[in-house]
Amino acid sequence: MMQKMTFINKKSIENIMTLDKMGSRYPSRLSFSRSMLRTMVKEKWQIKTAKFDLDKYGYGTVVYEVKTPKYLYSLICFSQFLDDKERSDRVIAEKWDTAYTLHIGKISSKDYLRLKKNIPLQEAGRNSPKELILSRANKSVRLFERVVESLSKGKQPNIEELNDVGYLLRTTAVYGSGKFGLSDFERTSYKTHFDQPFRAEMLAVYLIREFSIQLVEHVAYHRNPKKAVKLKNKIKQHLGIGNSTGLGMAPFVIKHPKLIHKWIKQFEETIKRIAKNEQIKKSTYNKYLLLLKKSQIYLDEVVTTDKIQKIKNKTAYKDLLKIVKYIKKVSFKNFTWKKLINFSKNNTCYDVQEIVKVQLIELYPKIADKLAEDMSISDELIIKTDMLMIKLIKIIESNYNWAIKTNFKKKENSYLFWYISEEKLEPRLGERYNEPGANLEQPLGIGKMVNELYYFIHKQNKNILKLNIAEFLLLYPQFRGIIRRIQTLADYEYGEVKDNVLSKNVLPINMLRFKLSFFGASRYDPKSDRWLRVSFYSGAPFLENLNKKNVEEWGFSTMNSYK
Amino acid sequence: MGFPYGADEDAASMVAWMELNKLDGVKNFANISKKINNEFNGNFNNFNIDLNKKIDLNFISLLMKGPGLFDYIFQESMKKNYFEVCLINCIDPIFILPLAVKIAKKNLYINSYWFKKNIMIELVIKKNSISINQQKNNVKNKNEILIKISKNPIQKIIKSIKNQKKINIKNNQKRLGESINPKERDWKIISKFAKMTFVPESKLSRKKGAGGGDDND
Repeated sequence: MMQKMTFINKKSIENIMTLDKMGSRYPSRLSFSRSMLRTMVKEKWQIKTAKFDLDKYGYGTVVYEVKTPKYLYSLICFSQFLDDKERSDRVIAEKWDTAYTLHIGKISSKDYLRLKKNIPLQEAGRNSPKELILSRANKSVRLFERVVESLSKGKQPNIEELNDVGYLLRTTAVYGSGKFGLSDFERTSYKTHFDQPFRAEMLAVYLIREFSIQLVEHVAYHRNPKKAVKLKNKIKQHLGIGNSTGLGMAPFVIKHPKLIHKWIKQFEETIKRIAKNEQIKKSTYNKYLLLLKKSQIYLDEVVTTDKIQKIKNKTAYKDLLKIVKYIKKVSFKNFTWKKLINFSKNNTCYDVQEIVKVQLIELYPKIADKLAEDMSISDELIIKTDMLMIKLIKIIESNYNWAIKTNFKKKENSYLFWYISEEKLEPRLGERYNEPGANLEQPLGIGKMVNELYYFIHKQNKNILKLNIAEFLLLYPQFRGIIRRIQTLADYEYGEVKDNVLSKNVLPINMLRFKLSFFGASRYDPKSDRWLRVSFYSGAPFLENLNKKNVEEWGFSTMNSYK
Repeated sequence: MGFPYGADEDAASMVAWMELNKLDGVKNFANISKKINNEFNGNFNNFNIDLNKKIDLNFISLLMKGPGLFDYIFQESMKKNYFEVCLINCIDPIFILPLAVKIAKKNLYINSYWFKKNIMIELVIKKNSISINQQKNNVKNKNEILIKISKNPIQKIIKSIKNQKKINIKNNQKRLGESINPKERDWKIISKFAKMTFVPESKLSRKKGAGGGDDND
């Protein structure tokens, strides 16, 4: 059998897949929330409230039906009383203000009874393959009641107050793909038209945002029917749907390397194609300057209490000035996107390098939108049984130089271990030398595993290099997983995080932000190095106003973005 | 159980494949659970395995020994048009199925035979179809499996279709739409195994391990 052998250019890859750069990414046209909304408008999905059965306090059931050209889906929302003491952002909570599922088809009376029994229980309930998504959300203690109070008195809430929080409801989990009995992605992508990653999740989240507004207005109305008013568009559009995210997202980035490769590959391909454009229209150039200005205002307005994030935002704000200055300094005749990207690479922080790119992508929908519809890939990793060990060694030396150069005998380099807590099966990080549980470590320390394999091979008789992989694995099956990964990813250059995730100094939150950026989340608000709050669809038009013109105008939304 | 990275995924994939195809993956796993509740042992001491001789699995589960062995068999299949492999002291022959199906996708034909009580079982595996045939027979060589591997179709031994079960791999989508329904006893066993991989909760792990901090707003 012929061996397809690809050695990756490590210089270019190491520049992208390090944790500090992954933690500086922003949403773009390629993000899943953007492409979902775009599809919704393009295919003219019809969404109606099929059931609205809430009592005066906002407790009860609401069903939205989504009619697409081929299929019908229903999002059912259950709202219940929750004592303030029981309300928690953490995944370990057992009760929530609201719970949801996205269901294939109309909800029959039989399904309704089943869902009513199971969905509010979340992880403790059971779903069927008819359900695509399971989620729950809590009310923002800071904002929900304040908005109810304000609306019930006939007043609009202050947009600055809304900006401080960013949402009325905050999801604490959005499950999909086979979890708790939900439809597996393999089936979902075949049976429904959600064939792109996280698209069904993004639809659910968008509808939950819609529900959050209907809920707050409903409660306000019943509190004072004579005086109550609805939220004005220019205020409510600034509200997103909140999300609290923890370490659960980090293992995903390591466990799905081909998918991660695909996302980055599409992003880089978009930039590469755009950068080839040397003839830039003046109107495009001017629009770009406006987009940069918008992102600068966004950075100024976005609220976070995290020290590192504050510094990041401030630095990015200042570095964006450098970019604007550069663009204005270079004569329009000599200006190219390629030169701008290079300038930003050499003169600005990682955040701004990303902003320069994502705002550039906004200008070229014909290039970006097509690639955004091709973000999926099989996750299968394959052992190439006929490869000789000598070739495996060469791949390791070429692609994992960072790993074989790391001394994992030093405590600080193997300080942490990833494990699954018995408590709700939540991924956590432990300190190897101070806490129990390292014997149950999850295999996420890829660098350490590659390092062990590499030096193990070097300690053996040289004849081992003449073996093929099948022969080697008969003798040493303990290396099966890492060899399969190394071999497969030799053809997927962006699949591997090029950093040691066991290091004492690692910031797992960088992996969270990386994934969230592809989801389309904004307003990053870290609460520790291991969890954060974000918003989805902040600035996006609501259903009643959504159209072709405004579906793409809401990135980096600011308080004065709305007419 | 101590399955290392990679071997754990293969074993899980074998059990899941069986369950997906209504072949009692969870039940079969639960049945051998006591025998695999030891340290992982998936290696073969001598890499120069002679496929012409019987391969001794030493009563160790195919969930451990199978994936590596079948990679090796596949590698050997590139050199030969037809060959046979005999496994002895095999405690869970049914797990041949997912292993053989995987390599059959690469244009191989595989038939396999073993005895269960007084029944001979024959697997006939092609790229997209599988049939499991059964026939009463005098028990021969308990715990022994014969595997035939060929680049061309292999004639089956059991001609009767009376006790035949066919699986069409193309029907996977339909099966994915049906919930699994394992017996509670088996599910409890599998859950117990799963629990062994989790670290018990503690206040410290919740605070430090997950990041702690203000958990409400």
